[in-house]
Amino acid sequence: MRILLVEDDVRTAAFIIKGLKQAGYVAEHATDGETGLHMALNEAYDAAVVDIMLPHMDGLLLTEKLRKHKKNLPVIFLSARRTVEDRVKGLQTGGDDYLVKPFAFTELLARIQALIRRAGSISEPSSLTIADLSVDILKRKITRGDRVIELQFLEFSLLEYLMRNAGVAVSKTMIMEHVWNYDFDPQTNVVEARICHLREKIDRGFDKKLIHTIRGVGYVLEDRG
Amino acid sequence: MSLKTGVNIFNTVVFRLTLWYTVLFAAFGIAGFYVIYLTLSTNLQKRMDEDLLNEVAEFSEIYRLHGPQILESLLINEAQSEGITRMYCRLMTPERKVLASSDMREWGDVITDPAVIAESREGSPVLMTRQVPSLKYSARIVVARMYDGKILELGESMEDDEDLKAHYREMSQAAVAVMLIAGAMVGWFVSRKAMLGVERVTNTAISIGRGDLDHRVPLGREGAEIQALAIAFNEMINRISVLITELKDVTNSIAHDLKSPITRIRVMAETALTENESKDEYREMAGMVIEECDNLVGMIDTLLDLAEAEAGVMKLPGDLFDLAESVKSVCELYDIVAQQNGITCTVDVSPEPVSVKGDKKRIQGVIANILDNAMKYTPADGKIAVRVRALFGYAIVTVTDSGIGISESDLPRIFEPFYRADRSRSTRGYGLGLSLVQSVIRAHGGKVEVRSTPSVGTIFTIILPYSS
Repeated sequence: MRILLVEDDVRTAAFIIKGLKQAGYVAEHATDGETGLHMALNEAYDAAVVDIMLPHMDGLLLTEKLRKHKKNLPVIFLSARRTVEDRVKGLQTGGDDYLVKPFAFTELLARIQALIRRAGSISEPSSLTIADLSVDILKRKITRGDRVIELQFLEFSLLEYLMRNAGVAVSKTMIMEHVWNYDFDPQTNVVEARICHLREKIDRGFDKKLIHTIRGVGYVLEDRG
Repeated sequence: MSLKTGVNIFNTVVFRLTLWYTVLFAAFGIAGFYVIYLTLSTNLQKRMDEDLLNEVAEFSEIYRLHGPQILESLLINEAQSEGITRMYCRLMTPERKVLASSDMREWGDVITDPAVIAESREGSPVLMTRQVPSLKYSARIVVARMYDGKILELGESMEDDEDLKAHYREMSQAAVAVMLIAGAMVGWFVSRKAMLGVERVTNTAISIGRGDLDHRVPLGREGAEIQALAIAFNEMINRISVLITELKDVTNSIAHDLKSPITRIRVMAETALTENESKDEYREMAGMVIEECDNLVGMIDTLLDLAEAEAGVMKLPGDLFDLAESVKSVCELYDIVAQQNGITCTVDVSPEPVSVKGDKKRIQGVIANILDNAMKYTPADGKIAVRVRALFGYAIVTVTDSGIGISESDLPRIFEPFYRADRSRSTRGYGLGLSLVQSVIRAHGGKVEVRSTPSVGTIFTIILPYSS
């Protein structure tokens, strides 16, 4: 998978490229809008990560021109501007997603994966399996080994999200926004408590733990062997 | 007017008012004197005409009774006693053959128009004004027909009347000139006095513009309007200086609250560099750095939201949503936390939808904020009750807790940014949550009320306009 990164801040670019490479992507970098557009038009990428404030040609114009050339390359905007109007503007000019700086790298990764999945029109699998845990999304049936697990609505959607992003850490903010569709940062440990509860039901009584906490980043569901 | 540099004198109010005063004084003065002049000249002529007609009547009577000889001597006498340049008298046939006459040398050839003679009838004398080429003044002439058809003509110089009128004109001109000067002076004086107050406001504004907010406009005695201007101006400056003080306080709080986490981050990074820690300890530290950063970003976002809401530029979607359902879903999020803390949380929402217009996610944030507070300050075995109702056209949310309560001295200040009743700053948060709650609710046209009894509990009430 090849990702194009258009970002004028070299230090930010360096850490994004490093992270993308670690996640198994090939990343190429342009530092201004014109070069970025040129690369996007002439080479094949699976997704582009575009900063909005760029020298020579800003990210919005770049995307507009890209769309005029009938390039369906999925685009994620990066911007320090966080108002709803800015997001709407970004999406109206042809962007597919909008991420506000500073962002959690795992969130960028999760969104890139989601966009590539969508662009490739890979149908969402109706059942997910990690190790001996499997979730039937349509029937809302969960089994670990031969034990059937009952979950509340909020916990089910949380588990589904963790399973879909298996191996990728998800932050508290991502859970609040993408799982439960809230837009606030609770001052009490509502997410931790919910994860804790989920762990009780999924991992308790099993030697192999699947839900892991990564300090400062969030939570990840993976089979660590 | 000493209005600092660059003010064109012709543009000043004082100049314009002075000009108006002068022009008006002059116009009224001239009009007044002209009316008097007209009246005067009309009256003078009327008097002269009456005199002439009386004399004609008298002479006609004498002529009828005593004949031409007596009349002739009378005419000569009369002209001589008046002065031969001032008056003449003569008796003529209708063909203008002079029968008797006073001394006519000074009068030259005053010729009576034959048409006038033909027109004249006995008992209705004809009056006219004539220029006499040999004399300086005009003359008033009366032509009368006697009982036997003879013509009697009297002419009188208008010297006295014209002198009087000329004198009057000179006097009026002088008077108008005096009025012009007086008008200009009065205008200048009055407007200058009125504008003094304005000038003081201007001078104060100039010194405030240079950065000295302690200046105020001194109150003078120019009248209610100028006083009102000065008072309004001073009040505005008071308000601005309060705002600036508040801004300074908030800036200080922000700077302080930014410094503490940055210091912690710096210490952690420094420790990581200088100490030989295990890989897990490094991970731990990196995680703590991210947590601190996330908190900082959260604080900055809250500040931006607050600024947006307070500036009144917050754009709210005009969508209707069910407040009961939204509150219920936020409460569900908190149920495990409540369980863990041993708090009984009851949610009692109206079965009917409670529809409210605005930003559903922001309102949910508001409810979460209040629930966060309730969870933080309610001890184990405590109770939190959330109710949503539509009442009298309002949507009302109450969050009642059996927590530690808020002291009477803290109660009025809890909505101020960065205000924390808990001085130790040990609990999480920056003291911005309730400020944001209030701003968001106000932006939705509602209000937040709080009642509290220490060690009994607190009730937050949110009142929003109900939309259907």
